[in-house]
Amino acid sequence: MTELTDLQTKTNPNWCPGCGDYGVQAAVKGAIVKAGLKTSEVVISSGIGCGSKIPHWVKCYGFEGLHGRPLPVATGIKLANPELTVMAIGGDGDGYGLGMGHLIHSMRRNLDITYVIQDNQIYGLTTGQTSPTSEKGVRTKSTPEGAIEIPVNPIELGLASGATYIARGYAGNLPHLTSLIEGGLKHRGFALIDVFQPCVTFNKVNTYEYFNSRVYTLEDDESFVVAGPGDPDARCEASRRGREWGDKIPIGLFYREERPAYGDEEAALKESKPVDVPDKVVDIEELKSSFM
Amino acid sequence: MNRKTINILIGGPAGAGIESAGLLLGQSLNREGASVFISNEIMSLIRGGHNYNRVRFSFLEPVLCHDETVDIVVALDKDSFAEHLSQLREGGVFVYDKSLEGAATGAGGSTADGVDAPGVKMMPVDLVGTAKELGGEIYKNTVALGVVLGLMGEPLEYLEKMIRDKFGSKGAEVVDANIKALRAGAGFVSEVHFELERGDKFEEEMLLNGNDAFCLGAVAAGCKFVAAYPMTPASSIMHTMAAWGRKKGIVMKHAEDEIAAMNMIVGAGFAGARSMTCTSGGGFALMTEAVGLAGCAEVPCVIAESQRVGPSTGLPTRTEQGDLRQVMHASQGDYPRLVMIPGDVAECYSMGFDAFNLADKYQIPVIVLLDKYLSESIVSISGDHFGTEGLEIDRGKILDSSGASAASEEGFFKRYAESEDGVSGRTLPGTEKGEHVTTSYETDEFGEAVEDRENRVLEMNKRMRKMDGLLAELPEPELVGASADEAEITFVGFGSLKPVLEEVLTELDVKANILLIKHAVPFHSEKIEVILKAANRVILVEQNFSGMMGGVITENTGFKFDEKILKYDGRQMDSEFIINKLNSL
Ligand SMILES: Cc1ncc(C[n+]2csc(CCOP(=O)(O)OP(=O)(O)O)c2C)c(N)n1
Ligand code: SF4
Ligand SMILES: [Mg+2]
Repeated sequence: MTELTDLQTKTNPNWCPGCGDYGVQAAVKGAIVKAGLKTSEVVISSGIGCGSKIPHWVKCYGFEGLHGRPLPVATGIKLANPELTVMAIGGDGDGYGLGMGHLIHSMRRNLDITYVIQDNQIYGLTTGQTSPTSEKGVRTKSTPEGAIEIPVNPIELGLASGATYIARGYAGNLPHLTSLIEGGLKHRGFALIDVFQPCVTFNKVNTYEYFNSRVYTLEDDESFVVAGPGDPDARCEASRRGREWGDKIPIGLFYREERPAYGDEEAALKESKPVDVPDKVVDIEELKSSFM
Repeated sequence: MNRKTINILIGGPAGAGIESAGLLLGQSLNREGASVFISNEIMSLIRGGHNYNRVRFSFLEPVLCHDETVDIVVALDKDSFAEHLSQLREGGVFVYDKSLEGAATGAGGSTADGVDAPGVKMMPVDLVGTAKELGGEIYKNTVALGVVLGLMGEPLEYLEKMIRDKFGSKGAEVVDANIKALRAGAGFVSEVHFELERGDKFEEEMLLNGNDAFCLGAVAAGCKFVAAYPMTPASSIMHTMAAWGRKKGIVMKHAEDEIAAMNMIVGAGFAGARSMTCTSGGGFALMTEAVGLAGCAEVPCVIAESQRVGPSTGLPTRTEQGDLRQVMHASQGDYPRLVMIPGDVAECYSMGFDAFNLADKYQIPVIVLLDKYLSESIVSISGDHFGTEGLEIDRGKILDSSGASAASEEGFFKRYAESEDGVSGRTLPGTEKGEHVTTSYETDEFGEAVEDRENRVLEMNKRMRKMDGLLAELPEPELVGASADEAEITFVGFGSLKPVLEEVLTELDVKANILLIKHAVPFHSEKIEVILKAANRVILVEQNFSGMMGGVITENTGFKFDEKILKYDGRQMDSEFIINKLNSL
């Protein structure tokens, strides 16, 4: 059994004191333990940003790649070795900015990947520019007159793109976030978990106080039922709740659906997996004969 | 008229089945025992325009490459008159559909056919009418093939067998109509025009192009993960690997873009698969950042880059050698890489195979540089060139659990441990005790991001040291042709010019040899310098504007090229072009 201490890394995080990423790190560790996964069989693929440093502080296999590209790397890992549990983790700029195209395609593919987005509504590592989830009007270094665009809505984006597990967590509610990530890890298909992750240094609007006074958990709301595609009303409700913003902001699991994951329908994976590289040269006589 | 080699050109609009007709003809001649080379020139459109396909073959001498001068033209459109009449050799035949007779007038003078092309036989044939009588215009290409075989006095049986093999699944009616069309075509020829000289049958039972050969090498090497985005002339690599997917357990992912494709193969390479992508110059430009990622993170992967005419969209379906500098230098910062350049189909196979071993052994991105001419021209070749005997899979330093423990300190695995050859042992996800972070940051031995100066220098040196071992194991360049002291001329070139230059050697009156550069990074500077400085007369031959390889050589050796033959009109130079240029240098 994996225990929390097994996930201790050589170094400790260097995020700003109070950063929401500490909550994400704790939740990821907790979820790995609760899901009963072996550290050697979990891979976290991340991008570049404050939050993307997370692989260094959760002891399992990690790949810290390029800004915006954690999903393609995770895709390669998962399709090469479907036996691994693959997570992708990165910031809102990383995932909804540079990586937006990959995100939409990964969701419609329903790859069996759990994607956690550390959504601090700001670019942290590059010292505070507007992000795709920054609210309209927010003044940042790159929008001194206030952001002109409206923000991306991750929940509706997930619904429209075919993700099969769509959730939103909050770094300030650790038990809830842990169970959302655990659920994502156990779900066979693409899990999109957007996480409110206060950036205490650069985002002076979306703070812990801001969220503490606003968030409510869907799981505690009896009027909300998580439903899949067979229930169009509930799907509409998921979308409506996804748009809810202001005095009350919901967190929790918005939508779940069972659909074959990409790898399940890949003919080439039926009998072997790409990481099974033979130790002898592969016979090509039959292929050669197709050129005769 | 006697001929050792015959060159047939079929011209017409896109979508008219010209390529299939050329292939069918080439295959049947090959089965009869000929050495064959099939090349195409196509426009970047799906219907209309003007395309052509050339089948060059011989029963006497090996055919290595194309030839711009042709013996028979089959014209299925008006454009063929303006484009190809002048390409006919003295004594050639221009076969065209009767309905195009008006077009003939536009193109030339005033014979009965409306054309005055001295030394050329004009041959109007009712291709379309005959085809329609047999069931549809679609058969006109087969009628034309019948005419072609008739002109050469060739038996129809080989092509008839090809028709049965190819169209059998479409039903007896289709087979029947095609065979009748072929016979009708041959019936239009009243006397044999070309007597073909014959020798022993060529043992060249395979017909394939460079992309096909590369795929065979990749499969033999155990490549089972491909991620790519379509781009001519590399697309057929992804098509072929996808088609073989189920049979060989190859996952071929058509990615959302080249950035994704490259990052996917890095992910798969990290996971332990032998992974590759394929693209052309534009797609490679998008991959650049992730190629550097593979270099920094030390992840093995293979990239086939087939060049077409740039910059930008350029001439998307034409050939050029203009991406050399891009694949050599695409980078932020310095990192180790290997750039291999096959010159012919056999080398596409062997380098396609070696690429995966070298990527694994040195934990680097390996780029195999092809071009449209090599990727898409089809040659006949002996299956012996695609043997697997003697080949071995070398996965380099992959550690199991106990190996990982041995390379750990206080329970933390040193992914980037110092080593003499610069290569550290790696563990694949799933291996107990091997947990670590593979990363794009500069790191210490454990893979932890650190920024101190000593570490940076140490790690940089460690990575770049791999190039020494790599260079030492790459075969040294050799002169092909006359010996160094005998040769009056030494041609220097790379890639798909190999067979063209080889043909030049057979046609020149003076003794000459060729220096082909097969590896651009790392570079055999010393050996190349010795060869060039000792040469009598050196001529650089490249299919690009600036003589890129020449520049690379000058940089590395100090040798300067005074004489250059360059071509950059999107069409591969042939031996005649080189010899003509040589005479006017
Ligand atoms: C291709 C590329 N462009 C830009 C950058 C610079 N960069 C690093 S992190 C980052 C944004 C980080 O924001 P986010 O993804 O939201 O992560 P956070 O730091 O907020 O956790 C940028 C633009 C980069 N590393 N690579
Ligand atoms: S800048 Fe913001 S996101 Fe980055 S570590 Fe500090 S608090 Fe966290
Ligand atoms: Mg952010």
